[in-house]
Amino acid sequence: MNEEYKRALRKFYKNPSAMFGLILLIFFILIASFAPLLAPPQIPIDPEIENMESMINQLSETKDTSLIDDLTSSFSDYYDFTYGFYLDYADDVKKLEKALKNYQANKNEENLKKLIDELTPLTEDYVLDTSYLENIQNNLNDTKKFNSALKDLENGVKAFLSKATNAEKMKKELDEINSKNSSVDEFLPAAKKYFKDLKSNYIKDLHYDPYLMPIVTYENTPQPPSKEHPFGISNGRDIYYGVVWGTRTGFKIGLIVVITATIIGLFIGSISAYFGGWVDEVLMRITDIFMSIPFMLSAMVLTTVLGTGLDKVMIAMIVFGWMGSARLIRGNILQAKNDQYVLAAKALGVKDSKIIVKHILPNTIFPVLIQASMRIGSMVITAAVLSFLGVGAPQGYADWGSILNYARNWILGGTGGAFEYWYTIVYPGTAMVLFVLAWNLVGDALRDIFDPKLRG
Amino acid sequence: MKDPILKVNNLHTYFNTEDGEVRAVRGVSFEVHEGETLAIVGESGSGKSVTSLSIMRLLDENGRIAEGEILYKGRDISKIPEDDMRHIRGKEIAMIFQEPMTALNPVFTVGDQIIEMIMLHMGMDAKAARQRAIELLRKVGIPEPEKRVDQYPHELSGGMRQRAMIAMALSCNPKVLIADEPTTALDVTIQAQILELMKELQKEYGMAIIFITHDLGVVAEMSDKAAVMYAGKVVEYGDIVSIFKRPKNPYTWGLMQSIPKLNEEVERLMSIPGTVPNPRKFPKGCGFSNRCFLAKEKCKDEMPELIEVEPGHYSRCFYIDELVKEVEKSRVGEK
Ligand SMILES: Nc1ncnc2c1ncn2[C@@H]1O[C@H](COP(=O)(O)OP(=O)(O)OP(=O)(O)O)[C@@H](O)[C@H]1O
Ligand code: SF4
Ligand SMILES: [Mg+2]
Repeated sequence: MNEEYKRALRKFYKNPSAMFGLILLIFFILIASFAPLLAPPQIPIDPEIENMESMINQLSETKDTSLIDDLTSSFSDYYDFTYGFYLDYADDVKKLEKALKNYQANKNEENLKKLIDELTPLTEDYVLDTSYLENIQNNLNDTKKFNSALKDLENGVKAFLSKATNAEKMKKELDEINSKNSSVDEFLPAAKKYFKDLKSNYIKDLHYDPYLMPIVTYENTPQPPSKEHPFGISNGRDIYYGVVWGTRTGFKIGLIVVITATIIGLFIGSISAYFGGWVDEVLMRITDIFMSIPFMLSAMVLTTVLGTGLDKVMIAMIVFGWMGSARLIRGNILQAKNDQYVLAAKALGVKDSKIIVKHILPNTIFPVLIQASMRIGSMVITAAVLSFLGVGAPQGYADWGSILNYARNWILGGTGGAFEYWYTIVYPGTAMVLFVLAWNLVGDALRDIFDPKLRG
Repeated sequence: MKDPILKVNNLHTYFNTEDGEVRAVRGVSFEVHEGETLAIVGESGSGKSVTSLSIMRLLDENGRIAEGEILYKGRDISKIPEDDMRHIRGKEIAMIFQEPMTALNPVFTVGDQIIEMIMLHMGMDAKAARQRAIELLRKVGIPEPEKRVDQYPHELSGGMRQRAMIAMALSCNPKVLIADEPTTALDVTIQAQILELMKELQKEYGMAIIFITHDLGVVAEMSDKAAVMYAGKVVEYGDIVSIFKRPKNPYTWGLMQSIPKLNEEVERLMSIPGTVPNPRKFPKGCGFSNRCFLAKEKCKDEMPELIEVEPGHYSRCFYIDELVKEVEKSRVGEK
């Protein structure tokens, strides 16, 4: 096997187009993995936090003890403002949780009244949203809605309590800092740790999505490449950022869609081939029906039904993308079943299950995997087309198709001359073409190496 | 005399097809002893492969053994459960096929496939099995077996692949080896080598060989006995010397005249006119009646029985005496 491995590699090295594809692919993988470094997401940071950060840095440089007081006071202020609230009401909410549990264990009038009694003051103090109370009171007669209101409340309480737990932890750390404010050496590590937790809590609560391309200008016309925005600006967003993070989107779409669709296809196709008869008939007719529906149309209809968004697009692409693999594996298995080595293996007493796993699958699955690897690239194009048609990724999502979509109005250039806005197309377009090319070349090379029928 | 190792008794094998039942084999009987070679001869479509696949119980899903018994060491294996049959396949009765190109799995090395068999039936560990695989490859005349064992089927020539296939079939010392036209796809010199090899291996291992071919010339070289098949039936059966010296069936005689002889001119080469009847509509009477030069009215309506014309020599024909005269006439002419 090792020998064979080496031989495969050697074959790969000797094939220039395969090498080129592989290098391209590695290049894309690197870009995708180092996206946060290549195009750092610009998280909007609270000035308060920035201030604290600079104080900490100053402290570690100058060891100026007067800064300790400043820092502890800003920590305390920030604490009161962000966390204190949760701790203040933690006990009340815990009582509410108990009442809720009691009611869920024993659903009677009395327990419900207790629950509402607990909930009312909390909503009045704006600790919990009034909608929790309203939804419960207004739906007393509608069991389904009532239950979902209870569920919402349960989640709300849980979220609150988890924040409270976190606040408690932060309080402990703060107390520790306050007890160490006599020396810089003791204070500094504790303060650094506290600040780190604080900042990560802040970012977490922000629900910041790095896949959103930052808006850098409110100017509508595209802006040509400049030092800060090397690929220019389209629709007010930085193209460079979109192209870099779009690499991740490309891999996400390609891999998830193709892997899922291929697994579904393999499953349906091999069941069809293995059982034959009416099972085969039914499954293949279903496959035919799916194949006869124009893909773009069906994907668009499905995304409109499910709602737009990248995940919906991927679902649509999976639902209408498994048939190729199903057909291919079915045909291959049917053919392999009649191949003489299967009969020969049977004639020498090999078990059926082993024949399937050892003799039929290896001979049938490679073409499917190779086809799948080639499709990964083209999936990105399909997703781009959907984005271009406006049913794909949401506004501002880092996705090559979306960036191209922004260019729609500028393709012909402005009054200044044709192709004035070339950068709105060339950068995302090149990325896409190279991505597709990379997968195709690698798929081709895989076929040359692994397809037993082309061996030798 | 010892009991035969394999005895086929009145075997009938039918296939269900869309246009009705195909009776591909309709009463075949023969027996082989240890160390003996039986040839099954006949034109394409006469049911040779179906007979051997019936013995192995590897018929297509639409086929079934409708009647008859297959006695291996006295035990009827035509009806035993599939699980028991699997232990017989490979270890007791092994089979090799016509197409060495496709009979080996292209994605595994030759060694892998032989080792698989050895481990399966002999319970050896991987290391010992590999050693044995190399030994077997050497035995079947493959040069540099240590290297070949790690090669893929496509890296071997056709003849070598067939040798590898034989090594695989021999890996578990089967008592019976069925070879279905093992040399048909190979060119003549390679063919001779493979036949030579099989004879040698038989001497060494003492197994019985059932050798299927449509080439009567090969039969003479290889076998002790022959069963000549036509249209799903055995039409002549006996030891090789009696059959060649004293053919008792017009079909066998026809086949013998179509063997090219080195000292004869090509134009004298005869072949039997016409083709094998379609098994969907075999004639009511003798299967050969539409092509037989001796056929009479009776042949079309009635099926001749297989009769013992001399001890151990059987033939299925109404007009054996007339044939014997014809044969004598032609042999005198030759001399
Ligand atoms: N699965 C099947 N379904 C229907 N008919 C079959 C099936 N398998 C074999 N037959 C029929 O059985 C008949 C005998 O076939 P068989 O393969 O035994 O011939 P053969 O003597 O081995 O010929 P050849 O020299 O070409 O190998 C053929 O006419 C074939 O049509
Ligand atoms: S029975 Fe008739 S047709 Fe058949 S072989 Fe004899 S002579 Fe020919
Ligand atoms: Mg055959």
